[in-house]
Amino acid sequence: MENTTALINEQITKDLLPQKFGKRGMIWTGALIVIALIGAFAYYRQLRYGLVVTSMRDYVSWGIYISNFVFFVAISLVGSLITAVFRLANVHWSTPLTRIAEIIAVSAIVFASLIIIVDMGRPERFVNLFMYGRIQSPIVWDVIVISTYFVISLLLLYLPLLPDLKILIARESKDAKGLQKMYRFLGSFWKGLAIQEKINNKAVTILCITIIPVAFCIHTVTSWLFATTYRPGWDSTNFGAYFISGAFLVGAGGVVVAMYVFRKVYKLEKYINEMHFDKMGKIVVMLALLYLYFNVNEYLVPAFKMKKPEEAHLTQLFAGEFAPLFWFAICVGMLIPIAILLFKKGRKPVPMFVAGIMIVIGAWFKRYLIVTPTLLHPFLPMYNVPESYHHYFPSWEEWAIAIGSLAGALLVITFFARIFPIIPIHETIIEQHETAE
Amino acid sequence: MENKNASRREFLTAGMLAAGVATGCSSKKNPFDGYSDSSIKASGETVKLLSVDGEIIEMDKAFLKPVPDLPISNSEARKGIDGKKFVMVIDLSRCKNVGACKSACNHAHQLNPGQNWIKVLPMQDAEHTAPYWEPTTCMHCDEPPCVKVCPVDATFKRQDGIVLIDSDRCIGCRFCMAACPYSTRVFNWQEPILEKEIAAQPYSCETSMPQKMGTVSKCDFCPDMARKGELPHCVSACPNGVFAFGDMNEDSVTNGTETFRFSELIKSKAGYRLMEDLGTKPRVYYLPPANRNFPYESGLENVDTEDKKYQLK
Amino acid sequence: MKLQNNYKLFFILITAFYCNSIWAEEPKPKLLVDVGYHLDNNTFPFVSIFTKSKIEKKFIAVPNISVKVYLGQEADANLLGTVITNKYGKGMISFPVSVNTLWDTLSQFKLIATSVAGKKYESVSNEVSLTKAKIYIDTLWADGVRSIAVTIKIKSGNEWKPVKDVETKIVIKRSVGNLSIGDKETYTTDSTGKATAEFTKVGMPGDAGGNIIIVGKTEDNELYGNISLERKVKWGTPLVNVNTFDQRTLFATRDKAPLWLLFLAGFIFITVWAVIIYLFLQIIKIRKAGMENWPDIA
Repeated sequence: MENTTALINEQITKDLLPQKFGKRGMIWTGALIVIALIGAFAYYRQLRYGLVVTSMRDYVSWGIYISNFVFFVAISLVGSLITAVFRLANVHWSTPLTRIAEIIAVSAIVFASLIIIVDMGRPERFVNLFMYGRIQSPIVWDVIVISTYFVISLLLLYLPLLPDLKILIARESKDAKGLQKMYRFLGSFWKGLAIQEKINNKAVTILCITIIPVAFCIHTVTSWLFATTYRPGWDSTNFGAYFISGAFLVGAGGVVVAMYVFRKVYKLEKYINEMHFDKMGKIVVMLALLYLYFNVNEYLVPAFKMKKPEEAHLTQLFAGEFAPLFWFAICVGMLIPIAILLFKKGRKPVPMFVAGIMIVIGAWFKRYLIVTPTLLHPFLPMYNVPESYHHYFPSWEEWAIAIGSLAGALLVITFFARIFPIIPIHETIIEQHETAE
Repeated sequence: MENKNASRREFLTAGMLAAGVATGCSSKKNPFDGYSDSSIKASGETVKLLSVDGEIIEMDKAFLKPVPDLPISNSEARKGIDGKKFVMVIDLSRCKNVGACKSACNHAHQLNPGQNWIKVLPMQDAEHTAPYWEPTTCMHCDEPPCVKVCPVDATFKRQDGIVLIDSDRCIGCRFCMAACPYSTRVFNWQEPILEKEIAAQPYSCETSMPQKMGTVSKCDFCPDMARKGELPHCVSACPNGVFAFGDMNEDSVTNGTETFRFSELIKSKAGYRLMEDLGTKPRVYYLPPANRNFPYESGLENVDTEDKKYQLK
Repeated sequence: MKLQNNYKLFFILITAFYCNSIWAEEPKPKLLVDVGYHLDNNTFPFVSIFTKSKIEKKFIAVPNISVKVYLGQEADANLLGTVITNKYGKGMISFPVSVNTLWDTLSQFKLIATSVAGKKYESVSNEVSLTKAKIYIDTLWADGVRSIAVTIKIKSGNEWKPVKDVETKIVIKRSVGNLSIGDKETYTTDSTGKATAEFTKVGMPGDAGGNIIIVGKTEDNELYGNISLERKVKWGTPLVNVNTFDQRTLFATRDKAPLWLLFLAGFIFITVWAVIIYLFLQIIKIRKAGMENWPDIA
């Protein structure tokens, strides 16, 4: 009996340990690095010539940088959902997904901060936020709350990693020296003692309780960057809830995509199985319906009243210049995934993967539609400005930086999976035993 | 007509300068000279001067020198002039889109192409209402939404009512631009083209010059002119007297040639403020375009080519 | 059609070019010198100089011009002094003691301003001929109506005599642009040299004590120049300057944030960061527990 247990443990460990990049991994990583470098070059141009290299002008003064920022903040919320909510609700099937969710959260929040610096006209004055910060400004709230969320997310990534670090350190010989040094630095003190386990479990539980309100804060505050203004389309009391529901949806969609990819690449079919997809599918469909509900709220109510400033904005979205993109985002981001995932057959890995991709893409464009069309409908007419101020289509530099930041986030996730086990080994072993008993 | 106005205005300002210089010896006090008074110190050297009656009067030399343009410190510029509540009245019945306000402002502040702190908008409130020209400046709101959202105190509200920008502090987040319902703020998307002499100066919140790349700028009510007892550039440039500027604490506004009692003007002509419902409490008042001096169409000839496409049909 | 348009454009360009060259050949602008005589509060008179030039129908101030100002005639003995105009093209000079005897005898006088020839501008001269005048203010009270009477007197021999038909302004002094105290912009003196204006601007804000300054003046008068007199009267309402600058509001500066916001934000911040610090302490505890058991590996 003991023999078999040891054997099973050995097998799990072997399956889940981080693996070296294969050929495909090399190509993937290389491609991401190239895309990120192009983004870095575009940013160099922006630093040199100013924000004039973007297509943003006085009316559309926030463009895809900001919508991309909102997207990153949104997707980072998933860490709290998968890890914290499920853990507190005593849901065990989600164990293999927790680390995927957490690393998505951490890398997204890092790139959210970076992209907001990219958007600044004077990035070198970032320090002014700390020297002269005004607590009255929602931007300062955002800075505080994002840095707090970043620290909490890192802790939530780190604490459950400790037992796995012990396993990694134990396999000394097989890794490069640098990696071993890092593992030792991070976790050499973890001995798996009962007292350590006890403190750790308690700490993680406290973390899970703390991260939920903080996660709500980051996205609510981010929505307030818009909702605290008078602009049509932003002037809404519903915005916080609307943003959070959308964030949970895109985050869950992101996890679905990631779990499909990791399962495929690392051959984890045994650990991430159809049950996981089915359950995630049910959650995604619930979140999509919730987000749809908030969308109806957000558009139907002002459309019913058709106040003059809202009118131009809404007609542009429903039937004007932005209509194709708007209906694309609604269909691809919500309706079609709901249609797929409502059926059991739709909750198989491949359709789930497709639905996940759709949700993420739809969500990205949805953020764009929240930011830009509003700015093109100011209260006073756009006049006495150059022709180009009346439109907005991102310049190549903006695309390069936005896509580069997405590539950068994926790169962080990729390297993390190369260095650390993407599925918690220790917890999987424990679960295995619990189910066996 | 225009020339006569111009020369008269020049004369008025000349008189004001003289009045300013004479402050020291007569006990009268130009309200704008609160600062210059304290800056002049008796030198101890006296000069003998002749009075109108042929008597010889001795007076301190220092009071005879013209008041120098003292640079206003940043902390002073952030506080504003004590006891003042600046206000502007824009008479829509007098505007025919000449654009002199815009060009005078652009010239005085060295604004770059594409930037206009003042815009003259073609407006039509509803389908069957008459169109009119509406010049817009910064509204210098008493509860400014732009200042509320600024994360670093780069834009601020002064005690004299003016909202200014410190371009040495601004981080370029453009939150204020999103927050302003009047779309009054402009951004320096690229390195601004400036005269060398201006570019070399340190930034002053009161002149809003020199502009800096990656920061926000906007109409500043020309507080540097107010300190000198002069009118903002747009006010003195307008040939039709559309703009009137003054101090609410003095209950008077002037367009350079005519002076009005502010409360009376607002009452008799039914003055109003833009977007009152938003609760921003602007310091710019509008007089409705009733009994107009010019038909709306007369302003069409001054429409820029870039604006033609967006002109009211 | 397109070709035709091109032709049009070509024609416009040529015309524009041609016009440009005409502008370029225009002779250099001529300097103009304005001379003004000022007498404030019947004390010492002074002369204001404004140097300008007309460019494209607009007057532009010309700075840094030396202007010699003479009394009566262009002779060294009559020189009041030399004025160098400032960057706004303005300058001023008062009457020096050296012209004492001359000034004393004159009732009519001439002021001559001659600019010194420089690199850009040739010497130009301008003069004004004026009569010495003084101004007086009286406050009147009749039937509950307040009025101001302004009297203009000119020097005639050794006496000061009232003069009629002088256009005066009777205004309340304001920082920019003075406000007429009555319903008219100007008031003309009668045969007794008096111009009377009824004070209709009841309730104008004055200083903290309710004082307003009334100014009687002639403005750019061809015969008498600019003479003015001020009188402080307690006819205004005391100014109550409502200064909300130091209040704690959402639009105040960082040091004046509303207290409720500070408490709310501070409470949330401290609570969350207390938890985070506690968690870091837990990590240290885990570390310690590990070290104590196998100190050799650490």
